[in-house]
Amino acid sequence: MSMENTEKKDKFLAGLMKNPTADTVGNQQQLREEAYKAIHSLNFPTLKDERWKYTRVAGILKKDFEHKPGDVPESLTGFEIPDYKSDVLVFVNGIFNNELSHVEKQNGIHVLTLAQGKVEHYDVIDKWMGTIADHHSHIFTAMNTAFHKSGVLIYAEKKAIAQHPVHIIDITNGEGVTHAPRNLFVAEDDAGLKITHSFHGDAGENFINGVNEVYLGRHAEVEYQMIQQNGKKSNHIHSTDVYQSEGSTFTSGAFTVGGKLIRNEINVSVNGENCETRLNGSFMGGDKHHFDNHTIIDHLVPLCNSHENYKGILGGKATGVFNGKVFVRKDAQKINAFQSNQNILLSDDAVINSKPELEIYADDVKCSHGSTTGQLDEEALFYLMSRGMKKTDAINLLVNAFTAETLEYVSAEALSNYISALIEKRSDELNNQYA
Amino acid sequence: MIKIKNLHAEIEGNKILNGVNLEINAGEIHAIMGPNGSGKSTLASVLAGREEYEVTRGEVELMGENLLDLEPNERAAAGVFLAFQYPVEIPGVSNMNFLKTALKSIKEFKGEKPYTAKEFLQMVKKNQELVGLSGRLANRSVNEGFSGGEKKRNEIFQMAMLDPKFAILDETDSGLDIDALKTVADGVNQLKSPEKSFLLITHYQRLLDYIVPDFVHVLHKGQIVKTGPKELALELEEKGYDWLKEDGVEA
Amino acid sequence: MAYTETELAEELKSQKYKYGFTSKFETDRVPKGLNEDVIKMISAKKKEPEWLLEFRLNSYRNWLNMKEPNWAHVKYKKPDFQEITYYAAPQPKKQLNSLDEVDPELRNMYEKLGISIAEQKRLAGVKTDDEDKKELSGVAMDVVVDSVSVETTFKEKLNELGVIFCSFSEAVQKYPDLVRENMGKVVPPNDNFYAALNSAVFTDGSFCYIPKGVRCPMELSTYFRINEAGTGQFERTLIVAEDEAYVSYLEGCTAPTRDENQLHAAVVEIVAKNDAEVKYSTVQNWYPGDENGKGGVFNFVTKRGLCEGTRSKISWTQVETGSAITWKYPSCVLKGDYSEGEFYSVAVTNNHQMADTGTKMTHIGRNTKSLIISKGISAGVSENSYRGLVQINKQAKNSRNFSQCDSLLIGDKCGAHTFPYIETKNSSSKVEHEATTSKIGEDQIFYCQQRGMDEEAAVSLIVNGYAKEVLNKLPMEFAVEAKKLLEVTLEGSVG
Repeated sequence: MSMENTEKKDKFLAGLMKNPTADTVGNQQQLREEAYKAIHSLNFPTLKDERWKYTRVAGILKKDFEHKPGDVPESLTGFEIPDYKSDVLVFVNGIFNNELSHVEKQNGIHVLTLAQGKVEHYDVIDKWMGTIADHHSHIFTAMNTAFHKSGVLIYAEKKAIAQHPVHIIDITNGEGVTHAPRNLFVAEDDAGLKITHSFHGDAGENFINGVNEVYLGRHAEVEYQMIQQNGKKSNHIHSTDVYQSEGSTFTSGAFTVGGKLIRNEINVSVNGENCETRLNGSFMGGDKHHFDNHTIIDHLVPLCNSHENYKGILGGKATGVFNGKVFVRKDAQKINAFQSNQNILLSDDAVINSKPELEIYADDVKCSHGSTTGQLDEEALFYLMSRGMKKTDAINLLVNAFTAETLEYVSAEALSNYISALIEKRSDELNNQYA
Repeated sequence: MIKIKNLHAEIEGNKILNGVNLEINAGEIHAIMGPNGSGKSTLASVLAGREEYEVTRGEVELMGENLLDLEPNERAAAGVFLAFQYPVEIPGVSNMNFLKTALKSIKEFKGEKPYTAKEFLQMVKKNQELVGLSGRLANRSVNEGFSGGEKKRNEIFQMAMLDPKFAILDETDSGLDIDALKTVADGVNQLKSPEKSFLLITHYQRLLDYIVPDFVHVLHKGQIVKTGPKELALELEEKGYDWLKEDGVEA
Repeated sequence: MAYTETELAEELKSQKYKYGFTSKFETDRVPKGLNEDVIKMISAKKKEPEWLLEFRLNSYRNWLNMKEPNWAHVKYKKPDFQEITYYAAPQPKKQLNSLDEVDPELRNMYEKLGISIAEQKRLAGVKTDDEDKKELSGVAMDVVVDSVSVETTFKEKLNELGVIFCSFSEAVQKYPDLVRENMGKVVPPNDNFYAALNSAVFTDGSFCYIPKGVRCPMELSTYFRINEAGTGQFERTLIVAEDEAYVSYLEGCTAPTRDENQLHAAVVEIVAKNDAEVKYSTVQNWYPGDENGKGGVFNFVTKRGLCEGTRSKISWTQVETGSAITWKYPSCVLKGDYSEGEFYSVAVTNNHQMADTGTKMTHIGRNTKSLIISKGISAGVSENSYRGLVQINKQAKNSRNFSQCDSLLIGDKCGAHTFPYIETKNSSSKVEHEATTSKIGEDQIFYCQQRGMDEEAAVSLIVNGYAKEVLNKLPMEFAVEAKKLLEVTLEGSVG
C-alpha cells in the first residue's frame, strides 16, 4: 500500500472511531482490540487481490463517513412486507428503534438487540461471536468487529423451532453515514430459525459494513433471506459466515435491487455429515451499479449436498460479479455440489464477470458448475408479443421467469411474492431506462 | 460346468444370498425366477465378481476351478459372461475398439494369438447379423445413445463375440418389445451348444417361451426354494410367487 | 512419425519414460548464470543484428524488475536463475557421406525419437539419394536440442511454395525484416516474468512463414529436447500465416531423466492474417520427475496467437502428460472480425506432478467465436487445475464462446480444480461455460473387466474415451503417440 493510501486509510478509520464503543462483558473488548490490531496490519484491498479482482473499493476511502443518527420514519409503511407475520426489529442508521419494533415471546427463542443480548445471553455471545467470521484476515470483517455499535442476537435453544420469522429492517438515511450491523444467529441442535433482513435507504451516500455469524447445531435449520433495496449511493459490504454441524440445513437468498456498490460474501463451513447448503440470489443493476456476490462453500466432511444458483440482470453501465467457490477437502467423499450462475445483459455498457470455481481434493464426488451470459430469449419474447403482450410486459414476464429459480427456497409465500414484485418493479425500471 | 455350493453373500452388511446351491452341466440352460429383491441380480453380480458384494460362505467352481478367487477379468477369460441388466455407457470408446481390447485381453490371458484384423471383422459381421444389430452402432461409443433394445442386443452381440462357456443373462428380457425379445432369443438359441451353459435370470415367463430352459429355479430370500421343469415357469406366471412363500422351503 | 502403432506399443510397454536417455555428444556452452555479458555473448555467438541485442537487453532489464508469478495452483522451489546455463549447442556438423559417419550418440537419439532413416540423413547432414526422397513425405521436422536447432528437413520442397520453415537463428540472418516485424508483436517482451526471461536469453527455435494463398501441404513439426544437465531451454517459435494461408504445426518435447529440475521457458507467437488458419498441436512429454517427485522439468510457457485478420482462425490442441510443473495457457487474441479461436486440451497428472493450464480467449473483433474443450485427469498425489479466461470486450459484438471443462479423478489423494474467469462486456454476445468433476466410473471399470480387461487396461480405455474429443483433433502421427502417452502416464495409478 502506498503512503498516500495509508494516509487515506488512517483518515477513514478516524471517522469510524469517533465515539467508540466499549464492551465490558466477557471477552468482547478483547475481540475488538484483536480486530483493531488486524486492521492496522491489513491493507485495503485492491484489484490485485484475487478476492477483490473485480471489485474496486478504493472509492469508499475517499469519503468521510461517520456514525450518526438519522430520521426515524413515522410508520413502517413501505418497509414492512405485506401479509408477512413476523417479529420486527428496526434499526435506523444502525440505532435500534424500540417504538417501531415488536417481538412476540416464544418458548426457547430469544430475539434481542445485541446490547440486550450481551446482558441476557452473554454466554452465547461469548461462545460464538468472533469465532465464525474471520476478523484476522478480512479487513471489512475486522472493521465491523472493532467498530460495531449494534446488531441482533437471535438464539434458538435446543429443539426450539421458531413459529414465525424475524424481520430485521435496516434503514439508512442522511449523507455520509456509516454503520456496522453485527448479527449473531445461533440455532442449537434440532432448532429452527427463519430470518429476513431488508435494507432500505435514501439518496445519501453511505457505507454499511455488516457481518452475520450463523451457527447451526446438529439437525438445525436456518433460512436467511437478504433483500437489498439500498439507496442509489449506498456502499454496502456484508459478510455472512456460517458454521454447519451434522445434518443441518442452511438456506440463504440475496436479492439485490438497489445500491451503488454491493458486495455480499457468504462463507459456509460445512463441518458435519449429511448437511444441505443452498445459496441463491438475484441481482438487478442499472446505472453504474456494482453488485458483487462472493460465495465459498467449504466441504470439510463427506456426504453433503450443496446447491447454488445466482442470476444477474444488468443494464446501464452496471457491473455484476459472481465468484462462487466450492472446496471439497481431502476425504470429504460423496459430495454433490452444484453451482450455477446465469446472467442477462440488457445494455452494451453493462459488464458481468463470472468466476465459478471448483477446488476438489476427494475423488468420489459429483461437482459441476455452469455459467452463461447472454440475452433474453428473442424467440420467447417474440412469441409472447405475438400473443398480444406489450414488449415491456413480455420482458418483465421473462425476467421473472429467469429469476424464479432463485426464489425456490424462499419458504414463506408472502415473502416470495414480495421479492417477485420487487424484481418485477426493478425490471420495469431497467426496461424503461435501457430497453 | 458350474457348481454353486451354499453360497452366502452380503452387501454393506445386508445378507442377500443365504445358501444358494446350484449345479449346471455343460449344454444346459437354467432359468432363475423370483420376485423382486429375492437376490437374482446379486447372484449374477457375485458370479461375475462385483467388488461391492462380500461372499461370506460357500464355494463356486467353474470346471473344477475356484471361481471366487479370480478377478473379474480372470473370470471373463475363464469363460464367464454376464449380460448386464443395465449396461453402462462408456463415452468416447467405440464399440469396436472396446471389443478389440476385450478380445485381445482374453486371448493374451489364455496365451493365445490375437485375431487378425480380418478375422475380427468377419466375426463382427457374422455376429451383428445374428442379433440384428445395425452396423452403424459399431463405431458409436459403447452403449451411448443406444435404445434399451439396442443395449440388450449389444450385450448378446458381445456374448457372441467373446464366445463364453458360461453365460448369465441378467433380466435381458426386461424393457424389450416382442420383436427385440425374439431376436435376442434367436441369438441365444443359435449360440447354444453342448459345451456351453446358460443361466437366465428373469422376472417373467415370457422369455422362456423363446429360450426353453432345462430347469427352472425359484429364488426367494436368497435361497432356491423350488426347482422344476420348464412348466414350473408357467405355473409361476399363473399363480405368482405367493404360494411358494407359504409353502416354505423345499429346496 | 515412422513408428507403427504396434512398435510404439511394444516400446512403451517396456519402459516408463522412454525418452529418458542422455545424448553425450559434445556441446558448446556459455558459463552458467545470467547477466548482460552472458546475453551479449549469446547474441554474438549467433551473430545477431544490433536491434535484436537491444531487444534482448531491454527484455532482461524488464525482467529484473519483475516478480515470478505465484497465482498458479502449483508449488515448487523457485529456480535459481544464476545456476542455469543459458546456451548449450551441439558442435557444428560437417557434411557427411553416410550415416555411419554420424556421431553414434546423435544417431541413437534420432532413432529413439523415431525419425526415419531418410530423415535422419537430413538431420545429420548426410547426402540423401532419390530413394530417400521418395520416403520423405508427410512431415517436415525441425529438431531443437537444448537450445539450438539441429536441422530442418524438407526445406527444398517447402521453398518451392515459398514456405519458410527454418530455425529461428537462420531466420534472423536470412529474413531479418520478417522476424523484426512480427517478433514480440503477440507476446511483448514484458508480458510476464517467463516471457521476459525468454526474450532476453532465447537461443533458438523455429520460424515459419506461409505466404499469401498457400496451404502448406505437409505438417510442420518441431521436436524440442533438453539434453545437457543444468541447461535451461528457452526456445522461441514464430509462425506467420499471410492472407488465406494454412498450416498445421506440431510440437513435441522430451527431456532426459534427471534428478534436478530443468527449466523450460518457451515463447510461441502466431500471427494469422485475413482468412488464414493455423493449427498448433503439442504433445508435451517433458520428464515428469520420478514417483517421489524428484527431478522433472518446470514447463513455464507463453503461447499466444493473434487472429489479426478477418475470418482468421487459430486452433490450439495440447496433450500435456509430462513436466513436474506446468504453467501454460495457449491463448487467442481475436482481433479480426469473424475470427475464431479454439483450445482443445488433455492434461494428465500423476504422482507428484502439478499442472495449471488453460487458455485465454480475448474477443475484440465483432462476431468472433471461441471454443474451449478441456479434459483434466488427475491421479496419484498430483494437482491438476484448469484456469481460463474468456473476455468479451465491448466492441466484440455478437461474439460467442462455449467452454466445457471436465475433470476426472483417479484415486483420493489428488486434486482437480477449475478456475474459469468469464468477463462479458456487451449485450449481444453469448457465453456458456460448463464444468464437471467426477470420479472415474466404477461401473465402467467393472463392465470392462467383465469383458476380460484388467483394471489398468480398463482405466486406459475409459480415459482415452473421455479424452477422445481432444485426441481426435490431433494429426494422426500424434494421436497414436498421445494415446500411448496417456497410458504410460497413468501406469500404476489404479489398484
